[in-house]
Amino acid sequence: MTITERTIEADQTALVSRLVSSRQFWLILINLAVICTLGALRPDSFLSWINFKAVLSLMSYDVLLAVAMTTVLIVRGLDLSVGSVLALSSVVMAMLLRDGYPVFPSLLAGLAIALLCGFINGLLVVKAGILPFLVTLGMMSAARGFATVLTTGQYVSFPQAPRWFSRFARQEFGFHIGDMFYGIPALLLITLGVTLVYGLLLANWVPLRRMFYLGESPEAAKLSGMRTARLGISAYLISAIFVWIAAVLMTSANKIGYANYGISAELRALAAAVIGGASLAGGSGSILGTFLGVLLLALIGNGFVLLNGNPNWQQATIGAVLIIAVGVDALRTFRARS
Amino acid sequence: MLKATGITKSFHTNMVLHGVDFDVLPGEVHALIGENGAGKSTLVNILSGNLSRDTGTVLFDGQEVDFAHPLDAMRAGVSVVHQELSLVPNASVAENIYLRREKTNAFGLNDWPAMFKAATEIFQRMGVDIDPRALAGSLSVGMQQLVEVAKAIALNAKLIFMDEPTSSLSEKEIQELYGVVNDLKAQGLSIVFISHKLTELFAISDRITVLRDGKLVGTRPTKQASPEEIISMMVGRHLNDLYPPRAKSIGEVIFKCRDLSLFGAVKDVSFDLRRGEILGIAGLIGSGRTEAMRALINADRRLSGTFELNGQAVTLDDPADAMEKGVIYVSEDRKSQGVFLDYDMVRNIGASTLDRQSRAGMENRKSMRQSALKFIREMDIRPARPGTRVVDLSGGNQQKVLLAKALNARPKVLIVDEPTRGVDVGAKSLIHKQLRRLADEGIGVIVVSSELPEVLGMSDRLLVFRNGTVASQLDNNDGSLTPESVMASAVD
Amino acid sequence: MKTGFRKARLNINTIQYVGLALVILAIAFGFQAAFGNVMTTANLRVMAMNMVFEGIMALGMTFVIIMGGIDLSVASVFAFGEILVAKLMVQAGLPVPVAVVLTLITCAGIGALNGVMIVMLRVHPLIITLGTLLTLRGINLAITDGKSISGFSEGFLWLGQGRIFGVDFPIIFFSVTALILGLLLAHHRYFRQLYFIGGSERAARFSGVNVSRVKISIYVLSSTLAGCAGIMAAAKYGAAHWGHGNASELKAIASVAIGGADIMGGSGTIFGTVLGVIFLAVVHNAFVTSAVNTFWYDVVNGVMLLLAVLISRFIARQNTQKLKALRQSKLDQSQHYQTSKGGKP
Repeated sequence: MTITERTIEADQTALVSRLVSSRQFWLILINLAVICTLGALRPDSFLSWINFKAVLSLMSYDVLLAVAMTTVLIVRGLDLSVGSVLALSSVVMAMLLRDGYPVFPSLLAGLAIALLCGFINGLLVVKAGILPFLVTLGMMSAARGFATVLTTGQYVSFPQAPRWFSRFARQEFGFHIGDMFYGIPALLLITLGVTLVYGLLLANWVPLRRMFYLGESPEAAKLSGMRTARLGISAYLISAIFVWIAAVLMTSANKIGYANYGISAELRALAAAVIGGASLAGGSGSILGTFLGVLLLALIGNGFVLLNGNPNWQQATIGAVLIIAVGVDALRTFRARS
Repeated sequence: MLKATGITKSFHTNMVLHGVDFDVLPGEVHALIGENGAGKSTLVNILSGNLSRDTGTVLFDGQEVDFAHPLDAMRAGVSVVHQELSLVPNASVAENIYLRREKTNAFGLNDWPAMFKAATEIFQRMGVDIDPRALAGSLSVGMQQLVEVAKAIALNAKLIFMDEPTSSLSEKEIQELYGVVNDLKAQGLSIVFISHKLTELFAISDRITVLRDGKLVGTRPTKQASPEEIISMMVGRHLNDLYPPRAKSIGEVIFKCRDLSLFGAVKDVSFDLRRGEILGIAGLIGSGRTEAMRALINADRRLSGTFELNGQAVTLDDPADAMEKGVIYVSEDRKSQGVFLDYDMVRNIGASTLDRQSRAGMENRKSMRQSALKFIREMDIRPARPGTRVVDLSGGNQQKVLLAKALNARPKVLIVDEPTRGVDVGAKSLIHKQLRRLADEGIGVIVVSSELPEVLGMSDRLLVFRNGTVASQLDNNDGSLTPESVMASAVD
Repeated sequence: MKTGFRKARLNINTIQYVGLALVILAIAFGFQAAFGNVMTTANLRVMAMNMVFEGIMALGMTFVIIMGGIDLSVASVFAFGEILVAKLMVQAGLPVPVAVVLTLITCAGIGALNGVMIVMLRVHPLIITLGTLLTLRGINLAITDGKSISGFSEGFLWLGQGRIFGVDFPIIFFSVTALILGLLLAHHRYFRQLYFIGGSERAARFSGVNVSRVKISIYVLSSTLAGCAGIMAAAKYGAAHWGHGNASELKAIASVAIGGADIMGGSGTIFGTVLGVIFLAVVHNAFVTSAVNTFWYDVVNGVMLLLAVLISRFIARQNTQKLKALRQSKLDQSQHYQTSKGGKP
């Protein structure tokens, strides 16, 4: 029994060092540092409800796509097709709505398309053993192509669709404090909601926990009694579901379907996920980390705007932050090894 | 030609070579033999500059040498033909032979005709017919092996180490390789031939050196040695009382395997496993032991096989299905197929039991942690902190975690492959005791090992594999089985 | 026996090339028969000019992929080349040759940076070059404010629009570079090392290949070629814009993969890549001339990429199967070992 007590004590002292070595902890600190800096430099414009709302709403799609990317990265996969599947799904839904189909069947059709793309990705990666990079690169091209073919590159608006659909994403829910109305758009609420639920599930729910084992060591997972093929394909399907949610929100918020939605979003999603602790080698990553990664990129972008800097530099910082993140990782593992 | 004296080498605290002496005469074929783990590969790696030695001296051509890199060794005239081939499949044979020493023409480009010609000359010297223009990947494994030899010759090697060169060759290719070896010998080259196959060594070697447990047992001229003598030198005498006592009572058949076949590796393997006994599986590397066990749980898709567990027919469709039915296989490849290196002990030990240790589908970390603690206590895993990542544990403790993961899944039949590879003595005896305890509790235990003393010491009955099938079944109830008799049916 | 080897060699590469060439010809002639005006000089020129810049990047990508790497950053290096050369000429007023040389040196420097980071940090090249891609794209956007730069001298425009014997300069550049690089890749020992690195980095290191140096130099090559393409593109369009060359890295990779290179490294040829480039050009053109919805182009690109990879995967699987069959026949031969033993204890 003493062994138990000793270990618990030892684990508790380890807790602090684990916290310090955890990526989420540092990401939160860095995010806070950015917030404080911006708050100090531009107290009026940055620390306003409207600004927060704008930053968070704008990053919603990126959060959803980055969550999709994190899921496949965990199983040692990669999904470059998130951006173009988003476009395809959006286009399909918009066209059905335009042609007068009811909302729910249209949305389900969009989901079906997204799942089909995810399933093909998963099948080719898991069953045919092709590198995820190539499979999803092909899917990226093909899905974007289909979306463009369907629409001939035009916007698809759907004036006949029920008005609630073209309104709900921007619909604000909120509360009054004094005279001020603090509204949160449904878009953001839904994103935060599904991300939170999924994050909790990914951290606790057994079927999802297995994905980590699969990514950490596929062979060991197989011999530990996990059905690895099924698990791998599921990851691509889950990724597709998040892409679909992003597509629904984007279509509703913009009131159009468009084949050029989400161009190069896959790269942003990958960058955010890697900053958040996911790795191409699989087996790691968390929704909180990914969320913080997206947030960091969004805050830096917001900072450029507010500091009267050139907002165009925002793009460059994504790449730079990504390289710094992997560089720090590499240095840490070097030190751990030596 | 080469004289090594007092070579010592340890990895961490594990001493793998204890002052070994080894010498090679000019123009001789010297066979190096020993069980797995006897230190053959380590010795070769040291002599060819792939590893550094701790102590000892090496004289080559009368000069003391200390090769820091394989390149140094190659320049001096020592080459190794490795078991795993290092040819680039999409480059021509000639290019593979002349990598980094290409012949170039006036434009600085590769002078292919000259390289082809030179390669052809080497092949002629070896007496083989290989097209130097062919892509290396289009050649059979045997031919590739010969290309590796040609590569060594092109480097003006005076001494060539061949590490199990015949393990994946057909009979015809083996004969061809013998021809090459004899030709080279006639030309004054020395060859060190490492192999398990006794018949082979007797066919081509001039002298035989036997290593055991990192020590030199002796060197004999082949003509004066007999296979029996070499076998007894290889296996030596091991103390049996290091192992736990044998089965108290052996009961009814709990698991039956019939006609297990895996395409290209295993053919018609059948056996029974009884309550209370430990079934040992012996055989040389490549004899199909591991392949058979993986096919049993269908980790690799088998051709055929029917199974009975406690009198009931079971299917064992995939490893997950096998695990649900209680048949668990613990891999020999601990690091890449066993544990999850970056995860802590709790997650490792709970990997196979996530479903059981959950509440409403959610991971029950408390329960996982408790079972981890239970196994940490039972198996004396150190450090005893369940939050320790497995990568930070020693080999022996990693192996205990791996075993704990399997036991946590409550096996009815437990197959352990190389349960003590790279494990220190203390952990080894602890693992052995655990396995015996499991057998006593009525769990069917199968121990696969390439370490003869281990299978002999542990098992009540023994299957010896050879060429993908069960070559013989030997009773070891009283522990009277000798290594010689096992070796005799394991080797061709 | 010798003929046997030759046949085996035919099987793997040649069949893939012949097959690809036949598909290209079939598409070209099929559309010619159906719609005419495919095989006209004017159309062929359009066809070539549509793909030539991606083609130049694909040449460098071939080298990178053979040694087991990947370079996503070419797309933004391409646009960066455009912008830098434009800025140096239009805003700094430098003469054309100086501007071009400075641009190429800078692009080479970016490649060196890629290479050094990949070698030093030991992070997957996909991630590093993704980082460079994003950073540089942002820089491109920022230093131009999203506007295009134009107002080039006639002399500079020749680099993109000039013709030699009626053939556009970029096409000449592509052909000559492909020829030279193809020759070097096939026959020069420095570049032959790439196959060894891609086949097995460890083995290459053991054989004395300076893996780090070779790697860095190849990323330099890839970036420099992208820079060349960018300079010519600026001249062709008469303007530099940050959005040019978007997604061209993917077309370049697709060309290499369709040309039969293994994305894991160790195989691939310039000839194959050129075929891959021509294939994409012809497919694109077929949609344009046939007045079928041009947007199908991307779909076909994607599907072809998947098909090409599936085929090479299939060939690899066949080979392992053959190896197993050989061992199986050995097992069947040794049947006599089994007497009455198996099974009845």
